[in-house]
Amino acid sequence: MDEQGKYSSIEAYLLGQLSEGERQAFEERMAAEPELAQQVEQERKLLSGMAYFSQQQFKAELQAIHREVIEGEAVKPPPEGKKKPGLPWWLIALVALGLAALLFWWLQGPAPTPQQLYAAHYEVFELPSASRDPDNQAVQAQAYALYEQGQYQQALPLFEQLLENQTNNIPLQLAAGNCHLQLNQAQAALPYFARSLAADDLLYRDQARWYAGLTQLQLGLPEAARAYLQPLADDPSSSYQTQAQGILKALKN
Amino acid sequence: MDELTDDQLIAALQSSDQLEVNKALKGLYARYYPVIANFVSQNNGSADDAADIFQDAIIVFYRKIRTGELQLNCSVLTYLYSVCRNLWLYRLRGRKKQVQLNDELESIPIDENSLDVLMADESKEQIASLMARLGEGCQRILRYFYFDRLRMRDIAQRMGLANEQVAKNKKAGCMKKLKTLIGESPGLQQLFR
Repeated sequence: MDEQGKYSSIEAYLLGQLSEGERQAFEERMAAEPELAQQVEQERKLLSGMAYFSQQQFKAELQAIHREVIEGEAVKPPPEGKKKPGLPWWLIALVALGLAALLFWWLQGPAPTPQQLYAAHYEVFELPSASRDPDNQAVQAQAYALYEQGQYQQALPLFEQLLENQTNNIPLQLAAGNCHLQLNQAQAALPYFARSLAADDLLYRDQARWYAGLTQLQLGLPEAARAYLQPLADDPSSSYQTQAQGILKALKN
Repeated sequence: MDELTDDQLIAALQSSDQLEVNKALKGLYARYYPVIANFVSQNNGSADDAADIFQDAIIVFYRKIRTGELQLNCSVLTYLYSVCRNLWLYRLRGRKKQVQLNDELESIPIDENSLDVLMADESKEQIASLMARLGEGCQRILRYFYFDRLRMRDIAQRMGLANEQVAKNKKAGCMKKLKTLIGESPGLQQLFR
């Protein structure tokens, strides 16, 4: 075999591109030719070094995705203002409620789906009246008012604005996540609850877990929901204990 | 983004289309990062630890998929959770903390060899430093071929090269440059005679 051909088969062997028969034949040759075995070993080191370099680039790309998806850096607020107004929120809510009820009736089979469990347990997060921020009083008052009136689409960009300087304001994070849930954007809601949890604020930890768990149900990921709900179900001091136990029991069926 | 099933996620990660791959990576983050963050924070880790562990797990998963070695007998979540769990155990042992994990999900045993790609060693570091000295074009084509495992046809398309043969020649030229650098590098001469 010429040098080029030999190099190609070493590479094909290392990249796992040989058929089972070819691979066995190649390994037999390596066993018989120590020089070939040594070349293969060198080439293996070379390929893993090259891949290691590319992997570091890949890792940097993952960090950018992390910042975008989890920390919400490049996330654009939902379009607002110039777009022509859609249906009034109460009409949408009414239709959604009707549809959910219909779906419930329609699907009332032996076991509820994760989404049905979500619908049965979800209640919007209530913003505490405290935690006013003196610098942004006007914006905050408006965001709170819109939220309390159920105008989630309008409230969301204001919460985003407030969160820019107050990442650790957990009630704001929870409210923004709830806006997304109300707007049927469960995937977009999740990072807010993750940030709430990461802050490890004892005051809101249970609520962050609860909403993260419900969101996973809505996403159809009962396994992930269980991870959040189990600690609540195990905690007698949690106000969510009974509800969490109920959901976990329903998921087991 | 629409919700992707595990099979769809894996298919997107196997794609030669960069946009599909990125979409899947973002999907993985949105769906599974919070679970891992929760696990790490329950086990004495910070948010930075969680971010780092999750990145490493995605690297392991991505490489398994791109090399065609992945044989998944469980959900993607269980797989990622199990890899993260192993990685976090290693780190805690390294920090000499008493190791008793609070588990929230079932995990599967992870073959230690699959984590080897994450481990740095001297020859990897040295070759990587030589790769950094190649031009951007060479870095890209070598990455597409050896790391992303794209076919020459797809590489030609992605890099705007006339055809497969042009891509092959370019890759051969880049390998030659790299080997020349290795030949000039005192630390590596021992390794590559």
